[in-house]
Amino acid sequence: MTFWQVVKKELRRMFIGEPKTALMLIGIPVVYIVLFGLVYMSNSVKYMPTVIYDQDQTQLSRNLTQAFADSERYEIIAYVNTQEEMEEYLRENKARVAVVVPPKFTHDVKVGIGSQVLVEVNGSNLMYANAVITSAQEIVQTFSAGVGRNLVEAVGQVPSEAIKKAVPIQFGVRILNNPTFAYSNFVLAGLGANGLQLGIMLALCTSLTREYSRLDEWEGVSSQRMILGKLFPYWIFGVVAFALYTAIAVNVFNIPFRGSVASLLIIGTVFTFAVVAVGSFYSAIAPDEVYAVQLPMLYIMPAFLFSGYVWPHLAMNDFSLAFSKILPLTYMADTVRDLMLNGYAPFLLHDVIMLLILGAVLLAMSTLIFSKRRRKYEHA
Amino acid sequence: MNFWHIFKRELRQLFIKDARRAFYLFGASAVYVIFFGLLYSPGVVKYVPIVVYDQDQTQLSRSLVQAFEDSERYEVIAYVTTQEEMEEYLRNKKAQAALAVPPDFSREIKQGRASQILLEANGSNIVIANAVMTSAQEIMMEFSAGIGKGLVEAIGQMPDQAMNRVAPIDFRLRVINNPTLSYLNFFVLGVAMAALQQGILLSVGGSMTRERFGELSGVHPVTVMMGKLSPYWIGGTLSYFLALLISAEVFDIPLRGSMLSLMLLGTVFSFAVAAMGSLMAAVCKDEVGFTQMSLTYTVPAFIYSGYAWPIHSMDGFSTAMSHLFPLTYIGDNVRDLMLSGHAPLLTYGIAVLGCIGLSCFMISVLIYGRRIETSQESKQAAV
Repeated sequence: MTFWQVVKKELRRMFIGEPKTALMLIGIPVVYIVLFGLVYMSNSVKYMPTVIYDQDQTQLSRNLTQAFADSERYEIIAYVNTQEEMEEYLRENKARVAVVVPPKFTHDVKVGIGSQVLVEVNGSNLMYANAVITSAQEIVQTFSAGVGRNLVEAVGQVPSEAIKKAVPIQFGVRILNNPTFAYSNFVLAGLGANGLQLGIMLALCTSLTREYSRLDEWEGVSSQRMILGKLFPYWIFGVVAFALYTAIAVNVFNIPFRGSVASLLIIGTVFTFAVVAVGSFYSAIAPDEVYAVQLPMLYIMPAFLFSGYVWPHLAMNDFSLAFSKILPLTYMADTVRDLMLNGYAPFLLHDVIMLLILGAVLLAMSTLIFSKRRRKYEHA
Repeated sequence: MNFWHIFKRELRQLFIKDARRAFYLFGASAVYVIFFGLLYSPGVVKYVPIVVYDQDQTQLSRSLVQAFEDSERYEVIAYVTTQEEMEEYLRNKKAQAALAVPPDFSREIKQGRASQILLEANGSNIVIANAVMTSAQEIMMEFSAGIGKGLVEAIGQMPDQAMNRVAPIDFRLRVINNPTLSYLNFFVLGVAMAALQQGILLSVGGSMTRERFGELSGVHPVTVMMGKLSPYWIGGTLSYFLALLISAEVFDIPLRGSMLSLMLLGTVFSFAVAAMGSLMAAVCKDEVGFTQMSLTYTVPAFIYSGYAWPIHSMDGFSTAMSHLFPLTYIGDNVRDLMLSGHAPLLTYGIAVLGCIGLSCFMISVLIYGRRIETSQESKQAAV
């Protein structure tokens, strides 16, 4: 059999013999990107249920709570009259946020003693806490500055001068690449890649293992040719799946794409190569087909969380850092996100080389193991 | 054969004949807790590399930079002298944030004209950007207030009074249940529950797809299913406690809820997942197919569970989907029980899990009852 005959044989199996294989390879990444694109469609946490405990009940305090009501981040679900009621709302998760205005709020502000507003947030889900941190301070500060202006004017000073003296440094924040903290921009590319590697692994993992029991079909074909021919279609269709889900992410879910298509295709192609090599390694060492599909589990879930895609490398300890270095996803996910959001990935070349090395080493190992086991079975 | 025979037979398969199943059942969640506990053990992101572009180079600007150096959230990795250099650091991701002090910073402030500081942060990883946002604002406000006091005093006014007039409303934030915003507390329990689910599914799947139903002929299908699923149900519950124990004892995740609530939740969840596993196995050709299916199921189940991205922020379709997954009813509840000691939706969660479990169990009984009959008939036909 020539290389192309092996390829054709494998293609026949993928699409006709066991069409489930092609379905997993291309379908899983695509279905994942659609499912997760839908989940994160709103992009930021909005309309957080908020309870107001206004102990002052004056025009000024109502203006302040109105500022929260006007922000799309908050949705005021109740006004309460006691501390207990407020805590009840938080405890029962009916409200995630509470805004507390102290008694004599207006009075203290007007006579120049100053007052304070307390915002409480349930931090067990960090998504809420982060949304409050980024927005509540802004609301209160803007409000405070407006009120301060009038107060200063009332004592006969020029407000802008007084403000510059008391709050001499203004603070501007500029968030690059993803200025609105859009969650789908942040997470979708990585989840797609995770789906891609799952699809490749599940489709490919049995492909070498099953041949151990039907070696007579392969007489006269070298192990190298067999492996390369069998893996080739998975690589090609893996790249197709990559292009497909990326196109969906960009066109359907509006993830920005600022990089060059060529860079994206290069990283996608070498990543697919590396994952195919990981899959072939599992496939070569697995005792039977059941093991062959279960082994990738050791890789899939940890790969996403350890890749540095969400929890950054700079916050990992040495063990986690070392582990992340052997995962193909580490070299792909961050880089793809950089290409999409920033238009430029500083480690592109390094990552491409690492993926090629990883892939080549694993492929060589699986060829060795496969031919060794093949000889053993043929002798037996 | 009665219930105990089937139960014992299943235990033998679980621990001796196919010990891999025991490994999944007891190992999956424990291994994941340890693995991800280690990953998230720092809790919060610290030492974010920051580059300083100080165009003023005065004592005042240096004391501002010092405030950033003193915070463990930042690590100043370089001082640059041009805008281009600063942007280069950000672009190459050598720095994740940049602090730019304008020229004449010190003079403008002293002359009462105020000045502006710019902080740039790379937003592509939200986890880092959030760490920057939470801390930078605090550092800046404190610094600004300190300077302002001095300035106001210099013109012969009482600083506190002036402050109270200019910025009359103070903002206080209190984060309850997870005050340090620890990622460990937030994330690990949910991942452990996802792993527990996977472990139960894989072991039950192995048991159901490999069963030779011919050997069970004549036994009532309810007895068969009870006997076969009980070991996984009990094992899953034990494994659940093991995972919680490791989280609390090794990784110091607070355990504030009552043991009874935690136990009820874990027991019902294990039952629901075991029953669901047996139903999933019924539609799969063999163990390979089952494994492929359950692995494909894991990630969507986790994401749709609302554990990380709240259901509150999902659209109608996703919200509806999220109600189908057992994980939805345990993830948030376990976290609430552990971190705050009280889970408002506990009873609801337990009730829904019970319903999912019972309905899956009943359908399984029907399907596998039919299989036992068929294998009996074919046996008789062979005789």
